[in-house]
Amino acid sequence: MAVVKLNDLKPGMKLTEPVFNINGNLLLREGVELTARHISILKAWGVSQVEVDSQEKTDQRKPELNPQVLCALQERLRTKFFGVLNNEIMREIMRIAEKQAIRKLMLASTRESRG
Amino acid sequence: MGRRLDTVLKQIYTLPTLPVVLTTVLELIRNPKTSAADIGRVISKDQILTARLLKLVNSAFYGFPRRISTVSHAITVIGFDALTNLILATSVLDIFPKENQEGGFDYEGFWEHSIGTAAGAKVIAGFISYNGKEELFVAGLLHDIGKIVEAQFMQKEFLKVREEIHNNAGLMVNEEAKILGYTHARIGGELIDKWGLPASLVEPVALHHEPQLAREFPRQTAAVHLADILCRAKDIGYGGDNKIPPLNPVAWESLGLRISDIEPIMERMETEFEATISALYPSSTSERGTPPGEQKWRER
Amino acid sequence: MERTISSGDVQKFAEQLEEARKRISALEYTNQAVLEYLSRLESSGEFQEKIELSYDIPQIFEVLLKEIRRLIRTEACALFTVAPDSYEFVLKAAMPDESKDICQQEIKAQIEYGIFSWALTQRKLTMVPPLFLNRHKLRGKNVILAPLTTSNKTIGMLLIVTSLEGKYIPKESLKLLSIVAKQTSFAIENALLYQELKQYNRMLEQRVTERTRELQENNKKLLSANGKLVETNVRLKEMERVKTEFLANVSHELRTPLTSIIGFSEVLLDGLGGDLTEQQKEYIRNIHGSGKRLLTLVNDMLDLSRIESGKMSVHCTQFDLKDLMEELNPVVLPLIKKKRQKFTIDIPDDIPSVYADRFKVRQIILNLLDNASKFTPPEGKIEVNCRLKREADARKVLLISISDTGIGIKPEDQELIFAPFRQVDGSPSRQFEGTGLGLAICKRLVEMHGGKIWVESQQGKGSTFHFTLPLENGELESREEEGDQNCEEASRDFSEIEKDQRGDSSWPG
Repeated sequence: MAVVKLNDLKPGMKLTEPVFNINGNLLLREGVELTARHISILKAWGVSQVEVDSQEKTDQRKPELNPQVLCALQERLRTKFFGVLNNEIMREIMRIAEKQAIRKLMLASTRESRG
Repeated sequence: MGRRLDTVLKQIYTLPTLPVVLTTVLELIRNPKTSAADIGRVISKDQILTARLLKLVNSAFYGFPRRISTVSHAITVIGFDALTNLILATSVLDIFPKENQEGGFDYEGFWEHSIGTAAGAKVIAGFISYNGKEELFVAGLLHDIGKIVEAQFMQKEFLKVREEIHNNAGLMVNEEAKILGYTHARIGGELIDKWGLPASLVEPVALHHEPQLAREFPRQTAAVHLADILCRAKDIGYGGDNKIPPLNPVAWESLGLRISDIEPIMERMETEFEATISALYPSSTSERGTPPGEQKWRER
Repeated sequence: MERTISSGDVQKFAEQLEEARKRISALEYTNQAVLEYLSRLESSGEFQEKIELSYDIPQIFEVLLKEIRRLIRTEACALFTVAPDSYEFVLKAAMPDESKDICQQEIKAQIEYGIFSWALTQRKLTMVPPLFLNRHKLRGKNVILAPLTTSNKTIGMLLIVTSLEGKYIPKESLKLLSIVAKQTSFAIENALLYQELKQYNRMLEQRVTERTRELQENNKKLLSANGKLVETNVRLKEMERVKTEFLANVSHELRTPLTSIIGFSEVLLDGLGGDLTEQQKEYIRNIHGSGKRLLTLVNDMLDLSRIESGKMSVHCTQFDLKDLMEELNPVVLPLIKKKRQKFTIDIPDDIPSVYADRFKVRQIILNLLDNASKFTPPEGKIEVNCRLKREADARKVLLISISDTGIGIKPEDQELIFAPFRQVDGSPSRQFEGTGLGLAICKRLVEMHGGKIWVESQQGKGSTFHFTLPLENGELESREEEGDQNCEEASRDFSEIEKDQRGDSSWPG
């Protein structure tokens, strides 16, 4: 499973996820083997990247997040969102914010660990 | 109270004005017969502006696949209104200080937050199929400009406001209302109105904390309102306080988004912000994961 | 303090004046341009009207092209729409015709370089230098890509090749082109929907036509079937009428000579024609008997036919069975005495009166007694019994039973005997004469009263015939629907019957 940018797509690659256009229409199903025509269609719709079948092993090692840091992050968010969480949209925003913050921190720690 | 704001603004003689080139462009654009070449000619006289614009147009901000080498070319590609808004964006950043000086107002945090909101508004424009994404970008960029006015021209009161925010851990708009009688949103609106900017920018800026009051441009106002909230949620820059204002239900309605759109919007905001900040604010050395603005305040 | 005006001031003043004048003329120029633009916009109204009336892509393209040419110098123009299944952008119309290939190639290049998708996601008209056209003879200097979108949906892309330099094209032309593109998008969406609707409509129409044809055929079949039914009905009625007429005629034609035969033979037997020898008397008695039997047959047949065709109806009155039996006594007794059979009547006093047709009940009882006597050997016993019976539905009816000590009836024959023209013994040498119609007629007559008739019998021991009659008015089943309401007398009036019985020499001994 690899994410390939549109310009790097070659005919013969096989899709592992379905591809949609900006209107939400299904352009290509998963499992489709790409032809030049398919690639042209993706380019016309401005699909920036797709997931294809690949041989390389993805780095499975997931970085560890310091639990203290995680706690501090959640505390911050809770303070920030205090009093406005009665709305489900606000709860969703907080959830995504937490998710993205954690990811950022993990990426940062990965970078650090890599030196 | 409203009259006080007027008087205050009238008294501020040293209120910054828009650069001449921008006002000339705005005038030119009103003429339907203007061509890209005409505008290009005007802008080219300002080399720094030209360079900035071309950098912006060629950056990930636009993601145009080919290199654009002249302003007139840029206009044919992105359009007149888009270019005008870009000039506006770059000019505004020139008018006001970008770096933190003595005095305490966190300009860097401020601009980061403004650019973050601008990026957010631009992304939202795409999700609601609104064709004026550059316009929303500028509205987002300018939404908190009133704070700079307060910081520069109402220092005493503004200091008090910041003290109260810190003591009560409250929202800036609430403290402003208590101490000043008006909010930075209204001030900002007044300023850009004075500048002669279109109403489609004035209303979103003035009412971004009260989007339900928007009459002429409810969708644009709602977009800026939401972008501001998302920006604070993502901790991009410093909005002046550490609280998140509640999402106004009227605003959410007028946007017509689904709750499932929030995740992709917040994802795209990230990329958009990165692209913008490198194109507009190259002097920013802030790394992602910077300690929050609150800590900066404590440092002072 | 007075201040004198220096030359410097005048200079400044003149400069400012010049500046002001410049600005004013610039503003005037702008104003003029705006007015022109607005009028151009207004005249685009014609385009809007026309395009709204267009129903298919070729028509839309024609109107569109005319407008584009008004706004900008067009070398070539091509319209691409999104294919509904593959979401590919397909060339639908191009002008001039020869430029089709070139336009395809240009678009392909624009897609390849990502400018096509960029314009699409921008949702705004964009002008770019051509990528393919440069190598071609076409004098294209600039290519305009105008995405065709409606609200959220992407309909297609418009490609315009112009010989003008992009940067010299006035803002208003581009603005108007954007408006035109927008309107075209909606027109195309409408046209596509219209086509879909038309197709759907055509399909519905087809189905309706088919269905109508089916129904019409069915209808025809039904009509012919109905016609046949009507025909058959008419024929049946005709047959019925013929039969009735026939029977009426026949019976009349038969009865007349029969009456003569019977009458004259009686006259002779009475000695009114002179003295007769014993031999002669025997022969005449034979003739008389045969005549009587023949008359009986004819009458029976007529009766049955009348009952079957519903031309007989019941005339009901309330009467006592005891009275009826007393009436019958003189008729019945002689015949039974002849065979020295014992005859008893057992009718309780508290039996209520019956509601029935008196003549027909006479007929039934006489017939049953006749049979009883016929099939019982000399010295046998015949009894008439009457009781109240409660039916299964709690109705009370009168049960009349006529029993004998005769030869009995085989179980398998017990139902057959009520069928017309059936006698128990079908062999040629019939011991007992009779038309075989008697019991059939009895059954019909009993049923016309809403009653039932049946037999209990043991071979060699005897038989008991039962039948039921209603007690009161309301208990009678309506049998009148079986025919017309004409009240007809039973074919036999009792004077005839009595005449039969009196001439008892005819009875088989």
